[in-house]
Amino acid sequence: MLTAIVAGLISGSVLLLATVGFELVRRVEGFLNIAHPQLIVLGGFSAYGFNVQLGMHWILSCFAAIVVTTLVGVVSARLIFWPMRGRPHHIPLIASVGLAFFLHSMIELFTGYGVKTLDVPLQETLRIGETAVAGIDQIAVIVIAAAVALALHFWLSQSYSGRAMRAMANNQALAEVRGVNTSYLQYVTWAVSSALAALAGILIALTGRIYPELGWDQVLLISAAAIIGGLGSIYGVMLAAVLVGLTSSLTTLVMPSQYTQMVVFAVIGLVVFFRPEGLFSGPKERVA
Amino acid sequence: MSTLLIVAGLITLMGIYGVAALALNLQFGAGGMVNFGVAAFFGVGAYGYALAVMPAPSGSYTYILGLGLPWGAGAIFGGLVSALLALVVGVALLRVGGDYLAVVTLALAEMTRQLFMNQPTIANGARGLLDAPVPYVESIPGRMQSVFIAGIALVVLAVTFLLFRRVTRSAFGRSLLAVKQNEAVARSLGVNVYAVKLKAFVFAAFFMGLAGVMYVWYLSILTPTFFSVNITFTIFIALIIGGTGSNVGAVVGAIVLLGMREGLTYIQVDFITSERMTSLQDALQGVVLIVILLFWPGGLSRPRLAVYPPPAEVSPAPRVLATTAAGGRP
Amino acid sequence: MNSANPLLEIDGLVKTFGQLRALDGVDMSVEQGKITGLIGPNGSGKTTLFNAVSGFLRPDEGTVVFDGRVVTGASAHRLAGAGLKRTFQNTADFTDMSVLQNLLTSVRSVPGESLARLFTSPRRVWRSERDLVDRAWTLLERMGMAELANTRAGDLSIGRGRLLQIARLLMDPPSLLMLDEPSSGLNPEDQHRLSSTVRQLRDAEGVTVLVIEHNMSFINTISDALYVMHEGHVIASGQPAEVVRDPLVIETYLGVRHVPA
Repeated sequence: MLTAIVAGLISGSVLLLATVGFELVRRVEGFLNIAHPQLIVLGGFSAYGFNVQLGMHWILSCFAAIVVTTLVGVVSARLIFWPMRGRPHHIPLIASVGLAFFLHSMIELFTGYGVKTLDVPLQETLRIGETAVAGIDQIAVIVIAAAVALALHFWLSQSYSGRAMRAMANNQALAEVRGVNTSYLQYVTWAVSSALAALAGILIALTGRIYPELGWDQVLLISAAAIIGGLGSIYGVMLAAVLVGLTSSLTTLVMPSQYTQMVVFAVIGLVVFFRPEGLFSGPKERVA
Repeated sequence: MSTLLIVAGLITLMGIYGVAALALNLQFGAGGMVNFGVAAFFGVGAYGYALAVMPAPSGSYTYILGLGLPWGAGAIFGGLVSALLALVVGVALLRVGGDYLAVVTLALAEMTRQLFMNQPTIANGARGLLDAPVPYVESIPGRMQSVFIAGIALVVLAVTFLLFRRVTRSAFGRSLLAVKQNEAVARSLGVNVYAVKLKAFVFAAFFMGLAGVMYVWYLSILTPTFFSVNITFTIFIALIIGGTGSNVGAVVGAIVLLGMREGLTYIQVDFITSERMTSLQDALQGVVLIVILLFWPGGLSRPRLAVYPPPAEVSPAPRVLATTAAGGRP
Repeated sequence: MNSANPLLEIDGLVKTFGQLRALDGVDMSVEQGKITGLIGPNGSGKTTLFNAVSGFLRPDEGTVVFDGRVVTGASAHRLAGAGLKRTFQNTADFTDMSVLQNLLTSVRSVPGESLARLFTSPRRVWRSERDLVDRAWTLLERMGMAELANTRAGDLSIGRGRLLQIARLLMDPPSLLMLDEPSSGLNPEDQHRLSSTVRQLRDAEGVTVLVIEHNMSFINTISDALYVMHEGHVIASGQPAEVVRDPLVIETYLGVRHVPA
């Protein structure tokens, strides 16, 4: 039971990092970036590439992975998504699927197929003795995610760029009129969102195993968190991510793990059907 | 002889892709509904067909149903199963609209795949059904059966094309197009947006299921890979290459994409394993999709405006009305 | 204002968005066979009222009676079917269809709308389609737009686009036509054509019209009755000539903040 809760908190934390980035892009750019989960995989696998294939120290590899993933995210936005501004929102949505395919195949081609683990000293050595409910690495993941969430909170609420970004997410034209440098902020958005995805992938790789199909599996969980979090504040989405992580982990206690996805799916269905605006959001003005 | 078999195979594949692309065109091209779960309807149709046609289970395989229907009835059964799934999904999601449909259908395909993989009782689980039933006629000699199947596929494609052309050119098709272009205005004109979308979604899903049935005929095996996300995006790419919104485009796109893929498989390089080949194909498909969306959004065959010739003889009635509302214009 | 024969009666309509009471108890009565104008500064709730009446927003309180039936909260497509149709402020054509196709979209209950009948009774579908196209040609000739029939609607000028919106509704004339700022962005010639079309609709077809406007001269020339809204209330109503002299209305339009008595 306790282990399931810890596992749920971990996957919730990772999901939080992944979903916040997905949600930032959705709000600023107005489309669902299906390639976002592939950036998670890219983060994990490039850490693996630097660490295992090139033999770099694991901490260094993680930083290198974040840099690589951030670059890929920003470049993809610059080359693919920004030129599509002003076209119907399903155009970038479909393009993002093309990008997801491309990234997924490239990861397979460069780092190979199957399940990978990082070469990290943490995993074997630093476990707590008899009543082991969580390894140091697992606690580290939760702490890192909480720290990042806190940092995000201060960034969005205190700093100029964070507030400007929220303004832009609400109303881009208005933000522009008020003198917000939207083009600079769009770079920031994509960089932050890709870096968070990379971090999520690295944390998955550190505490467990990564595999190329992880991205497609994460699409469902991330969208679940985004849908359940709804149109309200970004904190609702964070909370929803942790809840989705916990639920999917706790359902493994009562039914085989193959069915976790179906439970998550059913939850999405119920939310969409009964509260399409999400669980954590007030009524929204809807004008024709 | 072997060339004939290759050609027959290509024609069958063309029928499969073409029918699925036509169906997606009604949902996405005409109706603006982003269905990322084409594979779910494709796979459900395929399994529905196989389970309806196979005899009651015996021996090493486990599966449900096993009705022993003839293949024609089985194919229609497969389509209906797919349409039924579309009805459930549509009722839940089309009222809400937006990108939910895209995300949830994407998840739906994965969900069905896992269901069929992890539940051996439904259709033999991950190993699938290795000798799934294909249309078979006694009087045709063994190796010519695939030519026969190609013939059926071609007929199905032609009939499907005519049906979809009829639908998109009708008042129904116009309402659907109106909903896609401006939902609020369509509502203000009395269009029941939800009903129109739901009908189109379910109608098209029948043919996605039928495409899945034909894929069983082509491979004569049936595994949960029928639900793979690759199927969905192959169909999307075909439609976008061909020209979103155009029935001719859907078929042309299917043919062109098929040519490209088959061409690729003939590039045999020693160091490329088949696994890597698949990855390369996926990467290439992704790039093609992005490049087309960026630089060539109309595709090969843009939908054209329907041109109506002016009425041959001007009846006297309008002249009388003209005096009431010409608004000071000749 | 009490009218003898109201086609549309709005009673105590309230719509709130969070803290904002966009409609704060609106009462209004639109008389059969008349052109009723609705004016008010930006944000006074005119378009919200339109949305709430025509089924695009669900009002929080109050009732809407149309043609003797309570239709509060009914869906837009049902109201349109019952004869209450509206236009939108921005040109709202189906831009990727031809002008003629735009007209064809507005007729409901034709056999071609049923997927089953397309295949079971193709001859009936074909005949109704031919009749529909003939009707559309006739209408376009009447409105002096026949030469544009096969043009893409997105390529029309703003004025022609606005006329197309109205023409589209005339394919199946409603009993109540609600126009949302039909004259904005039109040149004087198009404005003139628009106002004479609306007047002829009233006189020749007996259509009742409710029209939102900013353009005072336009509204003065066409309306038989006038309502003024401000901050979600109706603050004046009556004959157009009287209403525009109302001190409260003048104050509102001069931008002085209105304090409810």
